[in-house]
Amino acid sequence: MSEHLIPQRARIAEIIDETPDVKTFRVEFPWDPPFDYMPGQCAMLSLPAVGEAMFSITSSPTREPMEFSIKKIGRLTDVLHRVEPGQEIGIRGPYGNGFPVDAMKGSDLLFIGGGIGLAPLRSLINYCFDHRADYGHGHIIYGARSPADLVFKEELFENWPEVDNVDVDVTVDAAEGQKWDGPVGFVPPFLEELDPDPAGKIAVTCGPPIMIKFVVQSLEKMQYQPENVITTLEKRMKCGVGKCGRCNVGSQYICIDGPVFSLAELERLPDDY
Amino acid sequence: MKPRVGIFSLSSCEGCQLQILNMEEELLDLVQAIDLVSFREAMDPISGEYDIALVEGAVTRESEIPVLQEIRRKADVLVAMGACAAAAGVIGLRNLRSPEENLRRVYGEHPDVADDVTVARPLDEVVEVDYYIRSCPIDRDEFLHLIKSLLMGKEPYDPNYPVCVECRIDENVCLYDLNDGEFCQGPVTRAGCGALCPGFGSACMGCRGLVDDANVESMIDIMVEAGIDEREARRRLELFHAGPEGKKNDNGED
Amino acid sequence: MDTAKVVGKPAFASFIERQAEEVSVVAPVARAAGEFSYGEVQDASSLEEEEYIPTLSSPKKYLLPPQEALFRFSSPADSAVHEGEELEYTADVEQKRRILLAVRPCDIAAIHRMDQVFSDTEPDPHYLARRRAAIIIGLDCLEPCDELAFCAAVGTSDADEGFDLLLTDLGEDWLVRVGTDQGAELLEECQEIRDATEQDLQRLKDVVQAKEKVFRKCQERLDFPGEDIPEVLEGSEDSPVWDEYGDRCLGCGRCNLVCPTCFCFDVEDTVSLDLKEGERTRRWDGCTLLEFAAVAGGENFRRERSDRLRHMFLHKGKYGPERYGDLYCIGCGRCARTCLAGIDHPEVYNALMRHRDKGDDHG
Repeated sequence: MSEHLIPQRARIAEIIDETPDVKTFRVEFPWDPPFDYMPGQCAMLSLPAVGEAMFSITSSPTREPMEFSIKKIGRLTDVLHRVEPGQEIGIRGPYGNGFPVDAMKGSDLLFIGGGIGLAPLRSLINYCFDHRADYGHGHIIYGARSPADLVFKEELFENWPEVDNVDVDVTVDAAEGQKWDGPVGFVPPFLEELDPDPAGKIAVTCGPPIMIKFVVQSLEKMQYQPENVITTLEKRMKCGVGKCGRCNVGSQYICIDGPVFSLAELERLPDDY
Repeated sequence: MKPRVGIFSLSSCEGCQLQILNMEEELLDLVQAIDLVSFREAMDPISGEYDIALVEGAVTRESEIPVLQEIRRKADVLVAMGACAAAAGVIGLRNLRSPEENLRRVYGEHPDVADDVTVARPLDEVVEVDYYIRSCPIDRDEFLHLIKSLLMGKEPYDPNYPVCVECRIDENVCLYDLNDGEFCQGPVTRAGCGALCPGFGSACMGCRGLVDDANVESMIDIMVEAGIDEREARRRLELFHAGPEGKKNDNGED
Repeated sequence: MDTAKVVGKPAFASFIERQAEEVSVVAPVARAAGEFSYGEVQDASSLEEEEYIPTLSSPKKYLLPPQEALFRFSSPADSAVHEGEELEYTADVEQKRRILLAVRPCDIAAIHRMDQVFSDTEPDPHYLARRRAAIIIGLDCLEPCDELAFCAAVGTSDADEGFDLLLTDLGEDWLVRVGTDQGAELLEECQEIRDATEQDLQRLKDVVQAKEKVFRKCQERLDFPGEDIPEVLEGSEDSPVWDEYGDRCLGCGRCNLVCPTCFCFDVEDTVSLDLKEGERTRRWDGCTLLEFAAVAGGENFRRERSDRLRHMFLHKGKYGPERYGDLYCIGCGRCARTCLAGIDHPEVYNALMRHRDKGDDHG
């Protein structure tokens, strides 16, 4: 890994507009080869002089190229959203624990995503689908603010529903005059309405903290056990290697010990996440 | 292409413009990086084209409002430069009395010599402001940081932690420990100045404005304990931000 | 025990003076208002400072400077920022030999904790290079330095390790305990030094024993044994004590900035005016500051001052011990000394203990 926190040189090969404020960046490595990673792991991306931030890796390690889907939300991402393909970036990683893909083998999988939270889930979803025989039934429940805010539309509506033994349900908070003939409503009640059976199932949820909070309440109501509910935590990170203290929750550092935690693990942490 | 930068003055002492001229070492590099198209109060601000407008001073006259609105209309980016532009500054102290009372006190029998005087307002009460350079006067390094950030299209860094942070890093002996009559506002004032005043043994007077979650009541307790009465402590805290907003929060105390 | 030597004070002073000609020697230097700060010295007078209280900043600043460049980047293109081809990254690690003189046991304990953090997981090359280049000559405290210290309550009033050399005042002489090979090697340059005799060691034993009594009041600042701090903090998350102190807290970060075990940092890029070269810089940060736990988009996981104050105490007293095995409060009292709102760690711990005993937190 990178000494002195010096990033590896890489280049943005292609930029895909997902929504008005989310773009997917395909990264190529013309200099040194890329690092290996697993679903749920993260990387620090930087633009020289602009800054550095932690992003979850959106692509599955089973597929190339490496991708990051990034929402325009701060100082670095504002600039990232303006760069052109060919832009050199700095990258270092992988960081974090990743999803427990081995422990999840043999289980049915329930993926619950909200907004840009589908980014880390997409890595896991495609990884599991590329190892289809290792996992049971797959159920993807996803919601965004409006139809225009849905990310990965091609996968959501074309690719994933075609995968064997997979259901995909998509909702939007409000359609607001946009073309949409699907369900309307927030993710937690949508989830309760679909009421997927907890038996033999592991639920993985990623999204805005407020959505995760209510999804977790819904799952508990539906009798999911805390050790079978998995989520990811978000914090600002400055180093990625458990030093800068920014992502500290309890005795844990999200950059090392997370970002993936089971609900059972979270119950042992203080509530400031 | 180099961005075109206009520098404009409203009601102010022009000390912030002077700070830019004082950057002897960097001035040549600066004019390499940007195209200065207007840099004098006397120049007609309506003329010329510019991408970035740096405006010093507070709005204190009706006639300044259309000028500022025109600057805003023409500029892609508008920066409030200095304490007066950012928070009404020292000029804002006039808001502790009504405009009529101020005119009567200053001009006596002839208040009509300045007939369009209003309350003093920071720029953002009249137009939208994109960025702020705080301080009275502005800090040269912060000015350069802003220019570089704008060149990169990056949001400039605007510290939201108090002066004490920079003062502790510099290991200054705290003025409250020296106990020599300085009532420092460092604990509640935005940093970015490098703790300039306390570093020279003078109390921070709060020229950069309050940090976002300033514990003003605790600050007043500390100043009172150090030897001034509460009324005086509150007045001192108002020195640089007694703008219309500051006045509203003051429970009508004068 | 480690080997021990005895040297007359004048001989040791001239040894330090000679060292100061060769390498940087830093020690507590008197400032205004009875304060001290570490700075370059040319002699050993700091060792005999009678009015010493803990320095404004701890010697941590020589290992983790308040601000330092992690690396530099540059580009021969018109702009490293927008073009960036052939971007070069370079890092310089500072390896300047430096003697940290008259480091008190509490600060020796603090450096040990900093070592834990910066050697853990992915070791930090900048910190470790400075650490390796540093020689610690400790100075045992024979009495508490001031009324705010509570080192004896958290077990840091004596140093058993973490120093290269440790000096104990035997009147005319220094008893020098040798903690490392590096210390032994350095001592070879000291003249008129001899091995400690049985008699010297007995004098040391007497001095150390006398400490126990002298430090009793310091120890009693905490109403319970220091090793119980993690247990007292356990389940204190909803204690009303945090609101009470949070109301007073200025959220100004002073406690973090003077703390010898606070290691958190922020990272920011700086760039030249022509945008062709710049640095990625880290600088001290503090968890009691408003934006420490804020993330892009505006969410702040510890928005209230009481939340942040609680996090700081829990990090020192519970999370640190859980992760690294040691209390991350070393009892120097710097935080209380600098706090304008008068928040004092033992007082807060005692209040938490009382509330817990009364059973009025959630338990």
